[in-house]
Order: sequence, then C-alpha cells, then structure tokens
Amino acid sequence: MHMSDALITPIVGGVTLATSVGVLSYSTKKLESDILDKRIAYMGVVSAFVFAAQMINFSIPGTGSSGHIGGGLLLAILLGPHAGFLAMATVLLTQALFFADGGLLAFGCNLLNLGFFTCYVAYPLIYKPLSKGSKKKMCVGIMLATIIGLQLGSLGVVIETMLSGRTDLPFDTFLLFMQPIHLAIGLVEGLITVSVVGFLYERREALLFDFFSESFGHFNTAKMRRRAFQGFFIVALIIGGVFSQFASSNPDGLEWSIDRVVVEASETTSNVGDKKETGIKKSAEELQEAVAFLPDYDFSKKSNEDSVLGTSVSGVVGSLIILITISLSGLLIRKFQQS
Amino acid sequence: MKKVIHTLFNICHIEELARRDTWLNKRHSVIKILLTLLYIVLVASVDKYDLSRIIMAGVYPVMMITAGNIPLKEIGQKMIIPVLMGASLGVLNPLLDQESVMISQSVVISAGWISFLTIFLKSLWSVSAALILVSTTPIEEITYGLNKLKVPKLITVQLLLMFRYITILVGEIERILIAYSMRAMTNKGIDHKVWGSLIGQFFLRTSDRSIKLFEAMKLRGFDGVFKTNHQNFVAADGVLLSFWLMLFGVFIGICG
Repeated sequence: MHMSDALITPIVGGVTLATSVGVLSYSTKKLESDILDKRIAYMGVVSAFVFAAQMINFSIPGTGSSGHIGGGLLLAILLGPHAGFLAMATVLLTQALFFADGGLLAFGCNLLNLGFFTCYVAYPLIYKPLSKGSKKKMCVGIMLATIIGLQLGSLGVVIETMLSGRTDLPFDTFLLFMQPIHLAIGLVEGLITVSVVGFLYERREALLFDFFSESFGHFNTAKMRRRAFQGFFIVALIIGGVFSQFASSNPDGLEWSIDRVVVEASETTSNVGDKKETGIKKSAEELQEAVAFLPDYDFSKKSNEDSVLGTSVSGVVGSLIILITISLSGLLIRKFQQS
Repeated sequence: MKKVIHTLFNICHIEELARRDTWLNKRHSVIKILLTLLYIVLVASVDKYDLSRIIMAGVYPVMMITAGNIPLKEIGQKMIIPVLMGASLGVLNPLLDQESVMISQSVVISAGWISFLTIFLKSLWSVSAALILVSTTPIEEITYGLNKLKVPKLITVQLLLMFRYITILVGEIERILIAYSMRAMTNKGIDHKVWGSLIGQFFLRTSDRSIKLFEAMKLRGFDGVFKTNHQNFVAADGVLLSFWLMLFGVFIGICG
C-alpha cells in the first residue's frame, strides 16, 4: 500500500507532507512531556519488529492476491497513539530511504494512510471504546479497528492517486477493487494483530500500553523495562524467522487491484476514453497546470498538428543524446579510475 | 526467509558504501539531503506526457553515481523491484489513454505509452536519488543533517535506534538459521517439530544480546540522545550545491 513518488504531484505530496508534519509535531510534543527517555529503546525495538513484519506478505485466500500488515494499530496498542505514530514515521522513512519502498515525496501520503488513520482514528475511536473489560472485547476491538483503519488507508491511496492524475485508472473502478481486497487484507491483519496482542496480554500484559492511565505502569522499574525490551525482540524474531516460511509470492493488494482493472479495461477499451475524464482528475489537472514548475506537454495530440515534429522528436532525441553522453562519460571516468 | 535476510542485509552493504572515502561521500549531509529532496520534487513536477524532460532528468543520477563511484550493478539490483512497483499504476495507461500522438510523419503511438514511460522513468530517477543519498551518506550523518534541517531529535534518534536494531535482529535470525540448516541438511524450511526449540533458542540468544546491548548503551552514557560528530561546511560543499542549483535552474529554464 506504499505510494511512490512517480505517482503523485508535488502539490499532493506537499500538502500531505505538511499535514503529516503537523501531526508529527503534535505527537512529539505530547511525548516530550511523557516518560520518553525510558521508552525510547522499547520504541526502537517495536519499530524494528513492525519493519520486519511489513516485509512478509501473506496470502489472501480465494483472491490470488497477497498483503502485508500495516502495523499501525499494533504500534498504537503497544506504544500508545503518539509514540505509535512516531514509530510508524521512522519505519516509513527507513523504508523510503533504504529500500525505496514508498517515496520521500510520498512520505506524507504514506504516513497519513498507514499511521494517522490507525493511530489517531481507529485506535481512539474504535479500539479504545470497544476494548474495555475483557480479552474477548479487546479482540473484537482490534479486529474492527484494524479493518476500518486499513479501509481508510486504502481509500486515502485511491484519493491521493486520483488527485495527482498521473495514472488514467478510472476512480470508481480503482476504488471498487482497492476496498474489497483491503477488506480481506484487513481481516488477516486483524487476526495477526489479535494473536500477537493476545499472546502478550496473557504472557506479559505489561507490554501493552495502558490507555486508561495513558502510560506504561510497568515501566516503573528497570527490570520490567528490560523484560519488555527483550520480549519484543523475541516476537519479532518469531515472526521474522518462522512465520516468513509461509510468506506469499502473490502480488500484493495494490498490484492485484491493478491487475483486475487491467482485465476489465482490456474488455472495454472501446469506451474507456469517455469515462476517464472524471471530475476529480480534471480539477487536479487544472490545479497542477496552474502551480507545477513545468506545465506544458511536450508531445502534442494528433489534433494539434502544428508543433508535433519540431518539439517532440527533437526533444526526446536531444534528451537521449545528453543522457547517453553523460552516461558514457561516467563509464569512461570509472574505467579511468579503475585503471 | 533467505530472501528477507538478504534484503535486510542490503542495509549493511549500503552502509559500507556510505562509509567509503569518495569526494561525494565527504560532502556535507545537509547539502546532499537538500539536493535529493529538490531533485525528487523536480522529477515529480514533470508532466506525464513530458518524455523528453524526464529523460533529461536522468543526468542527476548518472553524474552522482559517477561522482560517488557507486557500483552500478549493486544499485541497479536494488532498484528493480521498487521501480517496477512504482510504475505498476501506470501500466494501464496504454490501454486507457489511446489518443494518438505523432512522433514523426509516419510513426503514431498512443499517449498512454508516453505517460507510462514517463511514470517508469520518474520511478527510476526518484528511487535512484534516494539510493544515491544513502549510498554516499552514513546513517549518523543523515540524522545529523535532518536535525540541522529542524527535524525533531526524537524522530532522528528513533531512526538510528531502529536502524541498529534491525541489523541485530536479522543477525540473530541468520545465525540461528545457518546453525539449523547445517544440522538439518534441508532446503524446505524449518520443520514444525523443532519450532518450539528454535523459538526457545531465539529467546535465549536474543535476551542475552538485548540485555548486553541496552546495558552497553547505558554504560557509554546513553541518555536518550545519540551524539554525532559536528560537520563543517567547506568550499567543496558550496561547489556541489551551486553546480546542481545551476543545472536545475537550466533544466527548468530550458524546459519551461
């Protein structure tokens, strides 16, 4: 569900980044007045755990698709919503920098989709009210919160992609495939989250963030803190080392949705031209033309024949020549360095 | 599992690249971060039919890879999956946007192909820009640069801590799996009968390791904040920044 830089415009990326930075600054301020110095190592371990867990795709029965956990709700349950959001930000930043999984410009989009909806919507509004009382209620709360958080996240992907207008996917078709597949992924993620949180609830309840007192009561002693620290390493290792044996090689939810749309689109290519210009896309293109650095099209449509040859062919050929020349120079420099 | 470990160990290899002593590696992290962000915004702002401009944008990664002496094969391998994933949403464009575009008197193709190629190249360039940054800048310097750019220390400390924990976590998994595979002589994964003892081993090794790690951090004065070396701006940093700002300006000027 990670969005890449190639699919969003600077406007969409900038607005979502500014929003995410605002939420990050809020969560940072809330944490600074908290017991941060005692929680920082635990946050690092839990982040590493979610990072490892996100790399493992599981099969979605009956669809041919696969998905990975978002982990936002799990982070919120273990660390609290503010620290959870912050941990998600570091996970996404690491993925964007070192694995190119989700772009740097798209960081804001990804943080909103995977972090905000789970930590600041699903956790306080669904998980928290539903989970009071018993373990059974907690499991129901986790399932519902995971599913709704993921649905909001995938809706965010669709809206941000459409607002950017880089792809010609029809809004309604894209939505129709994204939401159901992420419902299935949400169900599996819910079950995984229930099993992890349920295990910790029984074996070491102190690991869970106590949302009634808004603190880690168990972190009052160094011993408990160390145990919590160790405990999560173990769960991370179990997930990474054992469950990944079942990792799925099927396409993930986003890719699967696109495949489905391709099949539909190829069946109805004759009339897609009529429906691709949706209102949202049109508005986004108008907005982008007004603000983008480089708003002109290089290639002219056949209807505007006046500038076809002069700009398009020479532009592409010229650019290619520059790129090839510089690439060859780079290779020559490297050969020279090696010799 | 091997795939996961291999992928995660890429981090270690990227770190080795970042710690080399090339001219680009020695440049100030703030400059490199700013250039990367600026370049990504520039690439993202190119219109979806603007193939010639997006080809031209490839000058940045090519020159930076050369200047940083980054191994092409390795960086190329790291880019394949992210680039394909990034371009996947544009794969429908040739089907959905079939308006004709003339590229010469006799050659006409659909606009969808142009936009798909543009998305593919955008994906390639933006992914390579991020990889160039991390291949020429150690993680401590990246966090130092982020701090200088007013990113809260809380976030950068988390980034560093998580980065270190990932390698430890994966290292432990790898050691245990190597020990298992040398005894089990099978490539079909871990037998379910030994899951219990294996998880027990994970527990013992990891608990020992994590206790040592945390105590070592405390003994060395860890108080919730990582200390990083101060970096000074030198003339070469100004040259790098000016050079690219000028080229970006020319790029915008020519294309605009």
